[in-house]
Amino acid sequence: MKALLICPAVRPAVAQLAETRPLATVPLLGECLVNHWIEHVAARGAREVIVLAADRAEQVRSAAGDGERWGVRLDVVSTASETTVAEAAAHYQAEGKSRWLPAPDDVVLMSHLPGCPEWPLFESYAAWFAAAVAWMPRALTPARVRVSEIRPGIWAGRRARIALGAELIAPCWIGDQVFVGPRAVVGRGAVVEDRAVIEAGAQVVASYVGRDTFVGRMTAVANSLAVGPTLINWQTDSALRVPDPFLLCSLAGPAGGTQPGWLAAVRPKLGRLLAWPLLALTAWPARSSRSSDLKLTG
Amino acid sequence: MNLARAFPINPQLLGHFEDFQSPAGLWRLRCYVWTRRIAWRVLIDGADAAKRTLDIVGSAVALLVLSPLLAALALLIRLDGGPAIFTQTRVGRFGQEFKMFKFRSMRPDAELRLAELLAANQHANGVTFKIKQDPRITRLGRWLRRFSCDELPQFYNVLIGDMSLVGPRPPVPREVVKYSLADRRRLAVKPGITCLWQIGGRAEIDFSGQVRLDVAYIENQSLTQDLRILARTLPAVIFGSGAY
Repeated sequence: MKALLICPAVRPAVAQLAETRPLATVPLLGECLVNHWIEHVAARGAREVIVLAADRAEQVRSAAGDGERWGVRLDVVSTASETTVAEAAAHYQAEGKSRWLPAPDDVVLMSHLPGCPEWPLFESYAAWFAAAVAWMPRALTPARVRVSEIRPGIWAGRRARIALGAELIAPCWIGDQVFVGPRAVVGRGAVVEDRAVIEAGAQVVASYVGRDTFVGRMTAVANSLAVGPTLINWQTDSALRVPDPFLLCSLAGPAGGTQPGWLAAVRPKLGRLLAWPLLALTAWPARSSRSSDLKLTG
Repeated sequence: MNLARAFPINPQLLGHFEDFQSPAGLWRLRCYVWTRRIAWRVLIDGADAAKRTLDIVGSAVALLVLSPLLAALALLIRLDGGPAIFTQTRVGRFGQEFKMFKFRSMRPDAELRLAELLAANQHANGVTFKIKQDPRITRLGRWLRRFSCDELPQFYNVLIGDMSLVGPRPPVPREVVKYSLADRRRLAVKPGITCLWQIGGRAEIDFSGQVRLDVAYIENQSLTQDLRILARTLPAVIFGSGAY
């Protein structure tokens, strides 16, 4: 049986989420959107899955792999622009629907999480966050490992380290290899993705903390999406880049921040110091020629 | 007017953010973040790095120490007729196939005779395949399999990164095709030479039992658990429990 998944391309309402990766590969409750959907259609019997990607198809291909993980043959096709469901169906189902999954799982525009069409993902940051929180109970699929519901409404990765003094308030999701420090508060309505660090005394309330994100001591993240140093308030749709890594930064790659490090501040001074002899050398012949000019004229 | 009394602020908060007020304090905070980032990378990635280090060191030492035995076994198998090493396609992490090496314990035409033997499969669910008194096994092969000596070349697979010392046993593609999504959880990590069900009953455990134990291993994977399993593997191998 076949299924076709259409990746969302540009969505201006959530443009910040697509800054470094296509929307289909943004981590959401431990897996990216395209992987959630591949697992969903594989569970319904699909053995061939076509993924249409208009935005950075190579990253989608890298995230989804070749489909062997779910026992499907996966083909990621790069398209010039986002295809509609009708266009995709007309093109790919021209020979009939007998070898396709029954609707609506045969041709899907991935604008929502599987089984939750009433929670659209990309209308606004608030909608994206609300969909993530609403989908938490469904995220423990049969194929999921290393995540379990440790208390009603609280899901945590098996390798997450939660300090004794930390407070977890349902509903909340704590991903794999997450560290939550003492006196930290996570929840209510918090999603902390894999490999994030919530330091001692920090608070994550009604917020999403992205993968590999560091939330520093005594930092409170509320009503926001924190992805590396980028902080998006999902209530007001405003975004800013946090300049201080000790508040919020990325654990993968550069720490981020807008303030120059000490090396960047010192470099121009160092450059001038080293260049001074060269400047002096270039200035000296000019003085000589001027004097000779003076001599000529004199 | 005492601002602290008028606007009570958590003294911990005041103490923490006091550093913001001076360049030296900011520099201290940056150093703090720098060291924290390194520490967390080590902690988060350290477990995988430690497992891989154990794999490399363990497999290299095993190949070195066992090399006389490996050479002797290879010679004996060759004298018995046919190649010494049997290469089989197995399924690794996330369904990726790789070539696994074993000492040949069956007749050279064993794969061709497989179909007629599938009917005699003693694993009732039909996903995995094992039968006692498999007629394809040679006399030397029976001895090799009893003490798991046929698996020794897999230390090379561990060295090159296809496998790990400890992990779910790699299934053949023919079995994986029958897996449900829940069964595929056992493919979430690199396969291993030994695993929980290898030390607890080996071929006598049925498929659902194997999946249950493999998933239990994956969910609680740690270096300590790996070392514990390795320590229990040797007695299980020596006494040949459940191997056929």
